[in-house]
Amino acid sequence: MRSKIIKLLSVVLGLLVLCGLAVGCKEEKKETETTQEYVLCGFESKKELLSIVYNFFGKIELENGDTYVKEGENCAKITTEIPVRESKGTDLSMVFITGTQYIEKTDFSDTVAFEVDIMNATESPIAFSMTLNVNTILGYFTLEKGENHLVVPVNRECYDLRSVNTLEFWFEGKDAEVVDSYELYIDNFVAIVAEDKVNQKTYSFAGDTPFRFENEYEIAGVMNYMGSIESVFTKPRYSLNRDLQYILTGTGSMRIDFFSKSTGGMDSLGFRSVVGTSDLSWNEYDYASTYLSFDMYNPTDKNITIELAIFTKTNESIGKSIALPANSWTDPLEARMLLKDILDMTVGDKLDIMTIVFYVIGLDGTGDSLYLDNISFKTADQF
Amino acid sequence: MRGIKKIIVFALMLAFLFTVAACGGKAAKKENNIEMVSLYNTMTLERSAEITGYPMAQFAVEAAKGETDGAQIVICPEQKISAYTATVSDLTGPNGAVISAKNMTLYVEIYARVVDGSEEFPAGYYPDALIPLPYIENAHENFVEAGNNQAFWLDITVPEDVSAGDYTGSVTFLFDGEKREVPIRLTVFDFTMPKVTYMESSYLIWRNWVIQGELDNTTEMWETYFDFLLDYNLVGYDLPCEPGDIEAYKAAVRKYYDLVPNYFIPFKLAGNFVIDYDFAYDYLYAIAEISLEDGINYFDKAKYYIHTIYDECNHDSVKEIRYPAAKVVLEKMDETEEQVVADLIEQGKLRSRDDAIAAGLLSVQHVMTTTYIEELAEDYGVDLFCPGYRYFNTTDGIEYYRQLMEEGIDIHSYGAMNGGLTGSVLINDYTISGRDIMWSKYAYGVTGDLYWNATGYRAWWQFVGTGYGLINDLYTQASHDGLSNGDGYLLYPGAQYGSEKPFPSIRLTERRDGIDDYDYMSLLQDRYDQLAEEYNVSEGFDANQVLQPLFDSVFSLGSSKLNYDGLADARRAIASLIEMAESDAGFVVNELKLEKEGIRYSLYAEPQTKIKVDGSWLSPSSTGKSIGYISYPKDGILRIEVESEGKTYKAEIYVGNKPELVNSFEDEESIAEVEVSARGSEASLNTDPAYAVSGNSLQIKLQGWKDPNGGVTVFNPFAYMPIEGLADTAFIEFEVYNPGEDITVNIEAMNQAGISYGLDTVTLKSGTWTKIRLGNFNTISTNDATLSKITAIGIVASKNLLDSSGTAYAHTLYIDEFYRTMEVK
Repeated sequence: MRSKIIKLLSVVLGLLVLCGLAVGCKEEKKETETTQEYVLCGFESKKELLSIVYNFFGKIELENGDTYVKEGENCAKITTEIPVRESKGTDLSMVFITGTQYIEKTDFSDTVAFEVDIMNATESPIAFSMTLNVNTILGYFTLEKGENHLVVPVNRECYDLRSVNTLEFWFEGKDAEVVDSYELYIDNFVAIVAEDKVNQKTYSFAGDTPFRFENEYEIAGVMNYMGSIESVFTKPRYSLNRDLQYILTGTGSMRIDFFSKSTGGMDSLGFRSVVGTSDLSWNEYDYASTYLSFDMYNPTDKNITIELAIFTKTNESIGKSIALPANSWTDPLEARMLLKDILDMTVGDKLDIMTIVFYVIGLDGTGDSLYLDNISFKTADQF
Repeated sequence: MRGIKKIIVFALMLAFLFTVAACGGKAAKKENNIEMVSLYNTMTLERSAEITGYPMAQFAVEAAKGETDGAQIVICPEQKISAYTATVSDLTGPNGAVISAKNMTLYVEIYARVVDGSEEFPAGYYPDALIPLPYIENAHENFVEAGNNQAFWLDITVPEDVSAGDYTGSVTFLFDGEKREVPIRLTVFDFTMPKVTYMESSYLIWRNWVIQGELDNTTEMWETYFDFLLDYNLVGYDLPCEPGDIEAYKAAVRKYYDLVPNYFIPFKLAGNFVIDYDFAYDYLYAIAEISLEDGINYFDKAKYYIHTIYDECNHDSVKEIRYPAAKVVLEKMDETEEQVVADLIEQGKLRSRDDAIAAGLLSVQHVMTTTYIEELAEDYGVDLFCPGYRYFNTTDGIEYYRQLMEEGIDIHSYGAMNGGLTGSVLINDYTISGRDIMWSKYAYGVTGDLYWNATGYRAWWQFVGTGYGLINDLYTQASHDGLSNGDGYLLYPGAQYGSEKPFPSIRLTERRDGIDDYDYMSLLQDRYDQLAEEYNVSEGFDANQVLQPLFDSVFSLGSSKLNYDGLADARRAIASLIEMAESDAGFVVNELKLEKEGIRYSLYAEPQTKIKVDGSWLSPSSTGKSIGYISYPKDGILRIEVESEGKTYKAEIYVGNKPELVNSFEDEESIAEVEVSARGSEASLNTDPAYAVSGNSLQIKLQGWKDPNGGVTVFNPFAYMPIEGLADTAFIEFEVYNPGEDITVNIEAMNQAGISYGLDTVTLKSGTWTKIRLGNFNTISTNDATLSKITAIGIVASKNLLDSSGTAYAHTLYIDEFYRTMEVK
């Protein structure tokens, strides 16, 4: 394996952001920094190739020569078979495990970007994504036919990068009738590391409106899909909205984009909170007079239903159906649930809540979106 | 003082001179003392285990034509061997016949680290992967640390066209340049192995995981794996072609049909516990098409194994979902089959449902990986069940499945996490049990073997990222599942060593050899059945009865006897009997019955055949039939010699020792030490001849008991008969008469400390004598010192004797003829 080759170079971080490859969370810091390359995988030896987990059918070989190699002696040639048995939307993935002899690094709080060279020798473009710890999506890209030098910016304020276990590459699966196989050449997967470490901005879920969706880090990693998904490429995506027509209070809201799965219909049942929920001040309010409420806007032409469900840590749930007409905000008197009702319907004399779930009924998938603003605790007189 | 100085100066000069000489590199090199021994090919030794006492090193192999078999040696150098190499010579045999070295592969055994060991096989390094020597040399791994064992395995594939007889050759090792020659001795039996194994099998090649070892899981690599398993007598699940690619599947069926005992029709999931019946239709139609085109009924080897739904679908944890789903699949697959047949008839390709191809299509078996389920058999037509092999460890279990087989149900069995004495798949374990399970499967009528995964190249106890984690070193990390040392993989990837094929393991090789043994027995049975018909003695003829003494030396109640010599002897005996049967003599052992006083036999051969039994020539009858009764040979081996057309054939059949009477329960004294449970059970002398095999017998009354306070909920009435240890005991047997209703009892052994060990579970049928026969004492311990502490053998009611109203009742049994057969020393 090629040892960690550290090369000094300077990059303008602002350019990374401006290059437009990043989706969602964007670091706001734009001054010039001195950075270094930390080689994560040079694709130089069979043993190094064997240190990567592959989730697809195909073949990985060492390829040498100038045509495809960008750094060192070799690169990886990947030829995939598109399996008929698997569902059409099955993603193909490569998982780089950190904390090993090949990638010792686990603390990526100094990492401002990842870079990799991927030559797409397939006739058609391929959707690509990179994630950390599976669920932290760093961006969506398209591998155009030919050479692709991917720069994947990392907004360190949005994520806790101190303990990263895995780095993943995702390639969209395609119907075998569309393409028989992919032919890819991958080389020089590096982390661009800065001299300083930046920790995730701590967002406090305290107060009467714990979810405000005012900036990037109030959105990043806060929500995830509900149920199962077919593909990384069709699961709901979350972004910061600054368009005032979709903001009820403050200057931001969360936009949720939905996509269709290969067999039709929306991929996932909806979305749910994944951080902060347990720590909310559920038990500091007067149950009998306090509501959990939310504001959601439906910009589509479809009259839909939101099924609000509160799940406890013992997997009990209490739900409520809320109509959300086309091009409308939720009715505040509807989009709420009295804490006492939740308490009465669940075991125990305290609320021990794990997640707030929004099942979305009535959307088709690709092209549909919703806006979520303010998940709050309110008393009746505040509506 | 000056003298002392002179001496010191002289000594220093000498030392300097010696030092110079040594540094000059010409000093005499100390010869490395390398211990070299042979080891059974059914045994493995930990890397630091003592090897002194094993026989002198040689590769001794016995095999039939067309068979591959192996032998191993172990070396232990006193000093480190920095590099070794070896060359294998051709073998020369009868009349100058030669078997080329190309038919042999010398493997280096790779030691895997076992972190969590057992009492008998503690943590350490145990051999498993077999990697051909050139790959080890290329990887510069051809060294042995001082004091470590290093085993080498030699596989010989006997060409089909060679002469039977003895062949010799050698393997020449060079250990740091020191030459050591190890002889090869090959005996080729005079019969040919079948092209297709008698035993059916399904060994999963988990294609998704193959990539983690090979960097390749394309259909080509899948095919390589499938073919590799086939070389080891095992059929991979499925045929190696992309699911949905019907043309590729047709080609695969045509290619493999003559090579496999069975193959599978793939399925595709169409949702949770739902399969795609259009997909199934296409496959059935395709098989029918090529059957019609080729005039071969390809359906006769086809099977369904919808594992996602069928696997243990009656298990409590999954039955609510899987069992109804399984029934739906069975129903819908029937409909799909009917539809294909109807369409073929409508298209004029079949005349009617009675056409052979239609009949084959309509009767493709589903491999139901569950215990027998009456509803599925009777209402859904399932006629192939595949329970775990643990159900064949008691008389009741064996008998239960035997009866089902009589009713026309086929039985396969599966293993997962198997260890110990029954079909072990573990690395630090009794290697032999992975082989002799095939003997007990044969004896019990089990016709197939299923294993969940041969390619567990991932750490499937760890979830990392999007799936299971990585194994640090696939060759030297014994546990891939975090629970066991070896379950889930029997192959090793070749990529890391530059091989385009995978490598076998010792455990895989045990299965190969076990299935070869199974084929030996099947060949003998087939030939005997033919000859018995020719001699007009086929009525009531049972080849298994002839093989019973050999079974007894290999296993008992599904558990290995750990009889390394015995297994080899039994296999050799069967080979000899096949040779005799296939010879001009047409020799058949029609009956071989081990009785209390001697051995009853009846032999058939072509007229004029000369037969010698235990050293005495028999007077041949005009029909070639000989019936006789002889005493047990002193060394426990029955020797049969047959002369026909100037050729002599010899067989040595292990029959063991004469059983010794332990107790015939004739008087009060003989029953004085029988112990029964408290609360009303009794032991007494029975003098009524109606309840004795001969003379008197032991009468036991097992009394149920209901705790008046309701405190005791478990109470199993028992009676224990004394015995002085079980060390060196081959078998214990006694007769039990049950005058009452059927009753299920456990047979247990108890030691001095009152600890009991379950040996068997038997249902005693009403109004009959049942012979209890036990030889599975290894399940108590493999240590004679422990077995010597056994003081009693007991009959224990399997449950408290309470009637439907909860009232306790008694059950009387009679016991007689308590015998023990000692091992032959």
